Amino acid sequence: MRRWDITGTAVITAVGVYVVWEGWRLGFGAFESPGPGFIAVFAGSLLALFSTANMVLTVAKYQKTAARPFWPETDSLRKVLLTMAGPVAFVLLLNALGFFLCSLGMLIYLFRVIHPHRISLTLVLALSTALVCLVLFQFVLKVQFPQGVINFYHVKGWLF
Amino acid sequence: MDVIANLLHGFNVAIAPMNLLVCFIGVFVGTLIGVLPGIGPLGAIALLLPSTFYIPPESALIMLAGIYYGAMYGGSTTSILVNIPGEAASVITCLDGHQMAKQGRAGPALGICAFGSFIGGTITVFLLAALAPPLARLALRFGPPEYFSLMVLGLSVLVYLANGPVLKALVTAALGMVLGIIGTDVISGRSRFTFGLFELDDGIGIIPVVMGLFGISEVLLNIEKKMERSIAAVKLKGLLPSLQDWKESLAPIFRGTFLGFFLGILPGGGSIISSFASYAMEKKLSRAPEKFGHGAIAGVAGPETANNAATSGAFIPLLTIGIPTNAVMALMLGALVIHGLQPGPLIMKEQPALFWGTIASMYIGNLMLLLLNLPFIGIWVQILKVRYTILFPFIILFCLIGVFGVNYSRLDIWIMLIFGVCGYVMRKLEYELAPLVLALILGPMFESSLRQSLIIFNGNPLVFFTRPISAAFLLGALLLLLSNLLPWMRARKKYLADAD
Repeated sequence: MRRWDITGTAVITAVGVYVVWEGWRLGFGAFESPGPGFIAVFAGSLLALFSTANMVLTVAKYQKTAARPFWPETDSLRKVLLTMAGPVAFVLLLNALGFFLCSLGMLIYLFRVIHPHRISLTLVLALSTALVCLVLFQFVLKVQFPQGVINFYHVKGWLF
Repeated sequence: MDVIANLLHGFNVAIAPMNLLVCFIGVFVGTLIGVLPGIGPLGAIALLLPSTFYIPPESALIMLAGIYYGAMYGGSTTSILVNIPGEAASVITCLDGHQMAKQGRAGPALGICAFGSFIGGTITVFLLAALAPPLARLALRFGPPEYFSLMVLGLSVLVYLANGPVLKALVTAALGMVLGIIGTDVISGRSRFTFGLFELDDGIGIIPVVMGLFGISEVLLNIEKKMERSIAAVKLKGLLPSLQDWKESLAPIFRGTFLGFFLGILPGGGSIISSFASYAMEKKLSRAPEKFGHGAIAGVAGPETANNAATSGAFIPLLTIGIPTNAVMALMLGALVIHGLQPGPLIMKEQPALFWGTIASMYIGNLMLLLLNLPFIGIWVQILKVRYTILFPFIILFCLIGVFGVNYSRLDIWIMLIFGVCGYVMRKLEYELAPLVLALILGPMFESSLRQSLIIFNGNPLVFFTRPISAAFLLGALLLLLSNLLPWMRARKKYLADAD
């Protein structure tokens, strides 16, 4: 966990340094007329300063790091990556396939991939949830989802 | 007398059928998401925010407030029965609540939560009604330096009360400030840190960041390991606390009410901090502190009352000064702004129905919660039995819908997913995320009040120390940060002595 801690502080310090540099480039101004980068220089400096201090204390083993391992189980990373793949695919395909198909596909994937449920249960849960969400959010709450390949406003028009 | 007349007007608004319905929906949804681990009141409010566009502003606020205090209520159920806090403010309830459940006393633990929350909620409604008008008058005297110092104090409170290392809390607060800079500079009109993405010109959205940091990261933390839940058996007939339970709980309930309420008012305070502070106070004041952690009912009654009281207290700065003290309040501010309202000292005069209606609805909502929770505890227990492997795909889908529904922007979904991963890593590395969210919310106000102060007072930074209210806020912030250093210095002294 200590290695992760040090890496984390290094990344945050780098972000702080970048913010200071960018703030300076935007224009620090003066105390009488602070520029657009005024607060960025201050906030970035504080971020870099605190993070460096944190790193120093961690390297010097002066600050305790969590005793548990970063990945609690051997397949933890796999589970996290597989879980994140679902919403990533959802957002990538949202415009092309539309809300209904994307949410249906994502639910089926998530129900099957991490802890596989029976296919019948998966289909019932995914289909009913996607339909309820479509009706509730798109038709009742008027959320403007991308239509994709099936335009449900036309479907609604045919039905009613 | 004015307060009573105003409250009566508020009750008149709150008992309108439409407002009763939205209040019920709010407390019901709040209890549900409080019971279900993984989404929290922030996610639920974000999810339902678009639905409030179609109802009057007072109804919108009544519903969102209902979700907030309903979640506080529901969160205790999972803490007691499963030892998993359904909501962050209920973490402390796990300690004694679950122990009580293991000893076969889940009923009185749940009962005292419900009664404590009701008593706390009722008293704080009157405190809110009495304190809000004078505070609004005081807020009219605030200028940019006072607002700046108030926000410094708020951030200091949050850092002071952080659970993990203080330095890490300071890092996350600074990170939140940096995120708050993203967008167009209101004074010069220049884009900052937008990387050419025009969607970021208005700044980074609070909802995607919050849902990523708390919603998605929670799912990832739960999914990375096997989740085992053993639900304690609850005898539905034994929900009423005994006379001895009442004797042990009454004082903690009253102390929790006042402590929670006043911590809720402070920027950076809120339900999480007040529940922890109440627990610490009860343990300190108890004649039998050794019982704490082993099923002391005072350890359940105090924190549960305090977290509900804090939800009422948090409305004071929002409705009187226009400053959200926590992320949930920031979303409520967003809801009001969407309706064209600007919370602040004048809202009480300009929108009495909204202000007093919301306050009165909290009382009615607390009554609904009592009726909803005690007789139907069995239903909530059944919901708890739903396996997490079935639950988490729904949580992810609702997060996606909630984030997309606000701006119809796919970029917001990407932001949520990125912050979900960041939040997951940061929580594992024991970074406190609440300061990040508060700094992100307060960041733009912090910047504008700082820059306005410097421009108005010719760049003189001493203005923050020469104006009495501002100086008092800064002194408070300094004392808080210094008091954080004391344990650190003591530890260093011991470390050096040991090394010698």
